[in-house]
Amino acid sequence: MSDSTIPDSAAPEHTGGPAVLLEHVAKRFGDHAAIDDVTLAIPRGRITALLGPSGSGKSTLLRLITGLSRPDAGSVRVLGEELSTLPRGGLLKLRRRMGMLFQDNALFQSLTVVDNVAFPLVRVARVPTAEAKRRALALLEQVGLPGLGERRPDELSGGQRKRVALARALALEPEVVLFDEPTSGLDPQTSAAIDALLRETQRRLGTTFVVITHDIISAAAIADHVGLLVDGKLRAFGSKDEVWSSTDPQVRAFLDRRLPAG
Amino acid sequence: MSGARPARSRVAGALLDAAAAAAFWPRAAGATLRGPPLVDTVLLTLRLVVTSVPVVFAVTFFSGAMLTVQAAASLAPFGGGALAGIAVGFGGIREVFPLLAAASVAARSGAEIASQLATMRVTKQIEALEVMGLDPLRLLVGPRIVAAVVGTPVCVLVGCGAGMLGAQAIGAWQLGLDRGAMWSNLWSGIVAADLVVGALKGLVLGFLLGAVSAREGLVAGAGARGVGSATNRAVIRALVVVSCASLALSSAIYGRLAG
Ligand SMILES: Nc1ncnc2c1ncn2[C@@H]1O[C@H](COP(=O)(O)OP(=O)(O)OP(=O)(O)O)[C@@H](O)[C@H]1O
Ligand SMILES: [Mg+2]
Repeated sequence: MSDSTIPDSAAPEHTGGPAVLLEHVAKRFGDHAAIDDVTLAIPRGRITALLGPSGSGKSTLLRLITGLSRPDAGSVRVLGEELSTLPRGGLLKLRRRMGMLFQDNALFQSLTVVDNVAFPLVRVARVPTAEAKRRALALLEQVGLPGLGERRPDELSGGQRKRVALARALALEPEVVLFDEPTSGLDPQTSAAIDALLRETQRRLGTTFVVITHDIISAAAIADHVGLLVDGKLRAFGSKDEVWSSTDPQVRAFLDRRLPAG
Repeated sequence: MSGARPARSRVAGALLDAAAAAAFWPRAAGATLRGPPLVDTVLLTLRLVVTSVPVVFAVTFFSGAMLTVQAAASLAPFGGGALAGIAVGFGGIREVFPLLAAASVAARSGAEIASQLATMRVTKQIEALEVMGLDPLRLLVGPRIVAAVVGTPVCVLVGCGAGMLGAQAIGAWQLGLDRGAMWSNLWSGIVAADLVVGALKGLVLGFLLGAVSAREGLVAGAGARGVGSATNRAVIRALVVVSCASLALSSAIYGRLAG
């Protein structure tokens, strides 16, 4: 993943700390606090699900983690790097160590499926085209999509597109992968299949996964750690068991309304 | 007086937005200097020329004819119908055809630049590039600016030729002017420098229409409506900017000759 245009940063590797560390982070839109004083440490090598109802600030939080938007207050550290003091070149370099799945996949519509997956390899890692294509096909096979490489994204089903987006996000072997609602808009069976794929992939690679979702079933199926966001505030954070057995009334209200009885 | 305040703040808002739009121009220029991908750049340039030339041809051909009808009618009382060629040659090659050619490119290819980038913005493809650690300006805007800067002068020269053909065609067929005299009158006042100036104008206007269109695409609002209104705004703004710049260039280049 080296790129001659961006020099190696002199900063030491912080392999020990959390993958993502937010401290007193706030983000406002006008007078609406989308993220309100959130402090949270996302552990490495695990799946952390960030739950919350619609409009609770989940996507905003992801954008802060990727540096696509800047917090009004507080600090965001990703893989040990403080985003606010990082020069643009450093931010671009850091982003090459992250992968992201967008809610609507954000596949390149003008490229075939295999070219979508090969794109970061060719353009970011400067892998020769033939080799990138070979690796892209292998990745497509790993996400359960053999033989569809020559199609365009709009010739695929929603679940298949999600798999392509996962393959593309994994292409550069990132250390952190961020998922915005990976199962939204999918039927329950396809959702379960995508959940299983995420789980299996994470276990195989040992990568840190951060999954934004409002789907408790999905969070229950995949997560090691769970955070709950309500109105921009972090109401609970901990291991799945800790959060599931929380007695905080607001947490219970969200969980009990959505968790299947029993 | 209660209406004055919102009107004033609307004017202020428009000025701020215009300033923000113009602030994008140096960034667009910078994007072309950071090595835009070669294959994309070549393909987009060819596409711009191939798709714009028919529009340019139609618009300038008919304009050349129209100018000729008017010039011949105005000069006829002075017994100089055939002199129409001289007037159309000058005014057309130096001013009208380059401007109309650039305006046609803005309408055809500027709109396409804006709608493509707006679609990519709305479907988060641009954010996807950013999250990969790539620079969307270099990858997407750079090639389109180069295409406009290289392609528009070509279109300007095509427009000059088509305008002259239009003038000649109507002069010969409707006005019954002598064909040989008409054609030589058309070209009599024109020197090679005029075509070079036209091409250079095309270069500047091409950059501006490319930068304006790209910027409107990049800042598109959400959804299909965002794409539609970004495209619409791109064409309107590119036409206004191209017209203003065309006048500015003309008065800088030819204004001195008048005095
Ligand atoms: N660019 C923006 N401008 C203004 N308000 C915004 C913007 N982005 C988000 N918001 C507001 O911030 C709040 C949080 O939005 P966000 O998209 O983060 O929610 P979410 O939890 O991802 O919701 P969903 O589950 O529906 O995707 C919402 O009230 C939203 O209207
Ligand atoms: Mg969201």
